[in-house]
Amino acid sequence: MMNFLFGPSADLEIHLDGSDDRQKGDVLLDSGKKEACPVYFDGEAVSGKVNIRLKQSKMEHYGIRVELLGLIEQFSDRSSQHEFLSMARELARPGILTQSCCLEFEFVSVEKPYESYFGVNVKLRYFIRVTVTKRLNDLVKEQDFLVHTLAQYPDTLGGIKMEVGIEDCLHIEFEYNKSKYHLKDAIIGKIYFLLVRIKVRHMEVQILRRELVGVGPNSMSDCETVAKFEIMDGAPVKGETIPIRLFLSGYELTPTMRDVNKRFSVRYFLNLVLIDEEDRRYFKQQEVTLFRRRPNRHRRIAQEQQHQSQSADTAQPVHQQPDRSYFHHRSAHFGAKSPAAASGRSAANADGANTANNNNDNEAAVSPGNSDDSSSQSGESNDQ
Amino acid sequence: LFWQTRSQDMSGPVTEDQEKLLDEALSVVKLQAFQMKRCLDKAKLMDALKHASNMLGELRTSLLSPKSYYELYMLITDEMRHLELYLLDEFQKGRRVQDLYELVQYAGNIIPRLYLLITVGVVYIKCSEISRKDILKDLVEMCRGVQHPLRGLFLRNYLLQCTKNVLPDCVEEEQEDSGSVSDSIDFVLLNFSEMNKLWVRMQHQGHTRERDRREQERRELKLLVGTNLVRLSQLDTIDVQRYRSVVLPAVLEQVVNCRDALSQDYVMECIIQVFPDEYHLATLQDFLQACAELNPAVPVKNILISLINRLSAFATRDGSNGIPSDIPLFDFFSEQIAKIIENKPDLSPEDLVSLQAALTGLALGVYKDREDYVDKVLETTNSGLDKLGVEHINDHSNLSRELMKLLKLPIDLWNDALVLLRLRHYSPLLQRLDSPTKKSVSAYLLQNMLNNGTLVPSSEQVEQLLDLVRCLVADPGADAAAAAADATATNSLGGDPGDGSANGAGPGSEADNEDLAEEQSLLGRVVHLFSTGPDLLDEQFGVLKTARRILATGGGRRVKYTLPPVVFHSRQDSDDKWRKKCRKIFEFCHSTVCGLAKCELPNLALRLFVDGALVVDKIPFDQHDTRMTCFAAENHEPLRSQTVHAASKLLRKPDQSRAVAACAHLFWSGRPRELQGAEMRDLKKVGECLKRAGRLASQCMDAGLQAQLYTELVNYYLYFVLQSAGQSGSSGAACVRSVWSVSGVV
Repeated sequence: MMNFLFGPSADLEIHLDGSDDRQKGDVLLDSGKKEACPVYFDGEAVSGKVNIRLKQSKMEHYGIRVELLGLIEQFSDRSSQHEFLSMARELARPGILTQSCCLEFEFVSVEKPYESYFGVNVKLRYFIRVTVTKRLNDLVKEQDFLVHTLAQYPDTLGGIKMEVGIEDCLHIEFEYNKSKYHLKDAIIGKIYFLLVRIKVRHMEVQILRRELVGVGPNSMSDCETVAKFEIMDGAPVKGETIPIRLFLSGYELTPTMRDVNKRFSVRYFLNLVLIDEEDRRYFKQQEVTLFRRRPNRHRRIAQEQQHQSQSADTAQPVHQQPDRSYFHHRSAHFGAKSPAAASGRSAANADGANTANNNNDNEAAVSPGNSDDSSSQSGESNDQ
Repeated sequence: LFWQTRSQDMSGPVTEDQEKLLDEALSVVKLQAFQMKRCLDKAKLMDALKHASNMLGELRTSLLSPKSYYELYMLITDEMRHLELYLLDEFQKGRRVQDLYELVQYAGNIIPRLYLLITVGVVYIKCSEISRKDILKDLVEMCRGVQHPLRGLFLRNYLLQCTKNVLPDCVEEEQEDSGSVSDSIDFVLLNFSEMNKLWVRMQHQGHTRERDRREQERRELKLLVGTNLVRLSQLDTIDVQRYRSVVLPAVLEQVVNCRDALSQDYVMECIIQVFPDEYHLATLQDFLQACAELNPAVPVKNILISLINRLSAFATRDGSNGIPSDIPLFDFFSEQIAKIIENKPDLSPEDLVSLQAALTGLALGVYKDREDYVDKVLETTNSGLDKLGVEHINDHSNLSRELMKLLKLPIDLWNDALVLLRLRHYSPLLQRLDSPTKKSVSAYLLQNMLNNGTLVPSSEQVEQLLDLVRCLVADPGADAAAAAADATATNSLGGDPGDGSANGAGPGSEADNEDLAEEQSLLGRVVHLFSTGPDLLDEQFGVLKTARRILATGGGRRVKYTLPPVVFHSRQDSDDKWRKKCRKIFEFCHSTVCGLAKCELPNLALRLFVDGALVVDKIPFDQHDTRMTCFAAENHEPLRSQTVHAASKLLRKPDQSRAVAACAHLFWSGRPRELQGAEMRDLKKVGECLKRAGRLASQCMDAGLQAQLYTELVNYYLYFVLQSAGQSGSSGAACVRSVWSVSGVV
């Protein structure tokens, strides 16, 4: 009887078509748990069934509808949920269900413009919601699914090549084979030491993820080190070349997202960090674009990639001339987080490409925007 | 074996710290290794890799000394073998783990990552050779990431160990995909040059005051670098051609360019030792060229010496074809050494000499019949020493030792002193040495002659030889006197001033005397080698005369050893064919012996006379009177009295007594020329002698001995009584009285 009055009168279950065969991915639920959900791509139809199992002999309702929703939630402000996608289908007109039933639904060629994302301050999720409208309390069931956006860039795109240094102290040239990497890619590169007067202890490549949420004064920024990858141990001497090979598939990465619905951005940077024997850090960040490759093609590339990783042909990328029009400055100073470096180089640092404005955590010290903006200022004395 | 020496200046507390740190690291390794193996047993490869990575993480330390690091490394690589075996097993069963080569590269730290990568890479290679070439290339390239000298050296050593049996060792045409020997060469050469760079860099890190310790540590690590060359030498497909065109130039380039003395010294030596001799012969020019370009601090001479010795040994080894005639080995080296000497004004004399010694060894070993080569070397050495302004060579100095070594070489290798005499520059070099060393070399030469029975057939050669060993023949100071003296030995013998003073040098000269005795006996024995052989007996006498003339300059202490052999030797030759010269010979002997007699060596002289007499006795010889010349009255008289005098100077009373009694015979049976062969029978003197003997006997303390002496005396008396019985009664009676008186005393 109690059940009749207050308990759900029926169980709802959403079953997405082909969800057993589909690629699955983790969705971070509000509870903090992860749930494996099927992955959809832009333009794909989303179809499925809603199973309604009655717990009583009959159930009266004022209509059953199914919705496909895309939401952007900012954690700081729960109220500001933004629905960028909303589609609805009426599954049943108001009436009385006398037995458990299965209702099919389909959203044909749904435009899914954004990638699912579960970040520090923001979440972008897709889900199917089924609502059985009732007199007192509606029966609602949600089923998340993931959306992967795919992109394709030609492989022939130039890489990143740059000379950086601190005058009379450290001078290196580094090179990444591309500026855009797909998520299963490997970053191949090398570092060439032109001048070493500091005692380097080790060097690492970090992958930084910068998440910018909101616009204007309310914007929130978060920077997270997704990967730390030591590429050199010990102090090199002049003329030494150090190889870089960093497989991205070892890390949880998403494609780069710019201005998603004018609400947030997720961008990735490669941070080359040298640590000297007195624990001073010298670093240089470069933005790279990450993207998700089309799966069919992806599979073939992956095989190639595997072969390449074994054959190591990729260990020595083609030595390309830096694209001068792309890089506004040929050389840039490292941001140096050291008291010693502060005096002589502070001026250069202040307007340099990467300013060490945060002494507590240099990983977060660099504002991502100014690599483009401030280049005009930084060019003066740094050219070699 | 690897760590033979412990670093000297590693003080106590540091060592303790080291032990503690090492223990901690080792226990972590053991724990992680245990867990790794457990995961492997359960087929949880990913977890096993995680533990392996943790274990390998211990190798990231900077705190351990090379020695401790080595221990840690050994334990870890031992454990890594389990992983390797497991993977091999799995792979061979067909359970190939997807993308394992990529997977292990996710490790964030470079040291564990690269160790894992190497392990997995080698497993890939062992399972299928298809990608062998590429994997090898990738591994050795990726290792560049470790720039820390110690960690880098060990990592690359691990690479070298793991790839030991999988390096392609076939020529290009056979295997296109799996790589050929040239890939192996590239691989090892790159690894070698990187390791060498790291090894050199070690020297320049850290504080200057720890320089010595670092150098010591580097020495301990040198084998790691050398292993590369060993690996190259193990590749069968590297032939001379490939060695000359690819391998050696690359190694030499690296060595010369690194400009580090320790490295250059070791690697050059290593090249010499690990590659076959034929290769060295084919690349001599290049190698020597590189030697000239080395850091001035490198002891190039050691390198050259070691190469020369190796080639000399090769040339003389059984079964080898010798040095090909188209390679002017000697000229190569002699030019090269000349260049080195020219370029290094600060070259120490001993280095110079040891270089030349090696060259001599080469000349002797490879070109046995080329005396001129050796002479040339000796000349260069001599002039080199002149240029360096070496005047005096102290004994026990290194230079002296080296020079001695050099001088002994030709003696040993030729075993023919006569060849030595033909060398114009041997003697001048020998004379440079300080006296004791010079003597020892000379003695060595003489000994060698004796061992080989080298006959000296002509007087010039005798002269040369004795000139060569003149330090043994005479004191340096006696030279002037010897020059003045002529063939008559007596003159110079009698008036040798150096003799007395040398004898009076005090108690310390006892040992000297022993040495002297030894040397001189040697010289004496060599005299017997002064032999022309049976066909040239005419010459023989001249030879001996020369020998005597020179030996006579030696002073009394020497002639007593050296002249008797001359005498004996001359007598040995007096056979029948030679009769007409007998007289001359005996005269010769006589004057020689007289010389000895004058030289306060009456005993010796006497014996020789007696011996001479015996010889004469046996020879059917016309001019028997000759033998009596020695007993002419004017000679005989003093001789007799001297003998008695000498006899009474003997040390022990009983000896004195016996000797004096024996002397009585001199006065009885002596046959001076004047008496025409009759015995002199000087009864009075005989009596005096015997009385004196009696007196001496009476001074004897031991009663038993005294009695014995008296008994003997009585015997003498009886003899003379019986002998004289027929001559004259009175003297006979006197004798009898004496006997009785003696008996009375008894």
